[in-house]
Amino acid sequence: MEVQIEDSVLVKNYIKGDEKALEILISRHNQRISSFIYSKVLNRDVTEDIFQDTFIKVIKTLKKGSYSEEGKFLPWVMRIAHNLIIDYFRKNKRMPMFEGSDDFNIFSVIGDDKLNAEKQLIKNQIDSDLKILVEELPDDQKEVLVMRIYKDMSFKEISENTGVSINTALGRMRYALINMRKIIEKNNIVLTN
Amino acid sequence: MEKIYSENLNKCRLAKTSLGTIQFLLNYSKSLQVINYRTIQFENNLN
Repeated sequence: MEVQIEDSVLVKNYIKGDEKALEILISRHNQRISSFIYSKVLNRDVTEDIFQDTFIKVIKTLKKGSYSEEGKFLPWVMRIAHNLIIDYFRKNKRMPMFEGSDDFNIFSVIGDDKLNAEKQLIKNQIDSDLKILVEELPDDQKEVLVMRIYKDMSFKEISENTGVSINTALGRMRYALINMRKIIEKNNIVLTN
Repeated sequence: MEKIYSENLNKCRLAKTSLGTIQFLLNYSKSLQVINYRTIQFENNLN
């Protein structure tokens, strides 16, 4: 008759350095713990991951000498697994995973923010028309507008660069926009998408 | 009284972690070394 060594004895032996004891412990409780995890997550791959993470924590705690033997090895391991299951669900909630099926595909509901080909063509045309209009402006106004819109510079940087005061730069920008509107109106240009 | 036996096996009862994962855990345990230095504990994985 085979005498089954108690968990507490195996844990003590493992802490002393007997790696075989760990193998017996894992084999003994594999099905119980895996079944418990699977019953919650209902996914085999996730079950394997959580099982692995559970025992990594167990191994670390035992090796660090942080475990106090009270004859409750399995409940302790189950508690670790339980907490990792909760962590898994919390993480999943933050990053939901969608899988398309034949009946329903989430991408039919969620759109892509990028412009489609037609809209991109229109946008390119507008950009190109605007560049032509900007060329029509007086040099000082053109300079400020280009720095502000195309180079994303602040008015402070523009004034330092051009050697004028911030107020002058602001004024030139204002006049640039007024003049552009005048050109657009005068020539009946349409710049909308 | 008629006894009804379910033919559907409870899948949860059959769940078992693969040998690969168990082997990994055993290897991890063999390689893990905890060093105590004053009040700090260092975890080290030996090759």
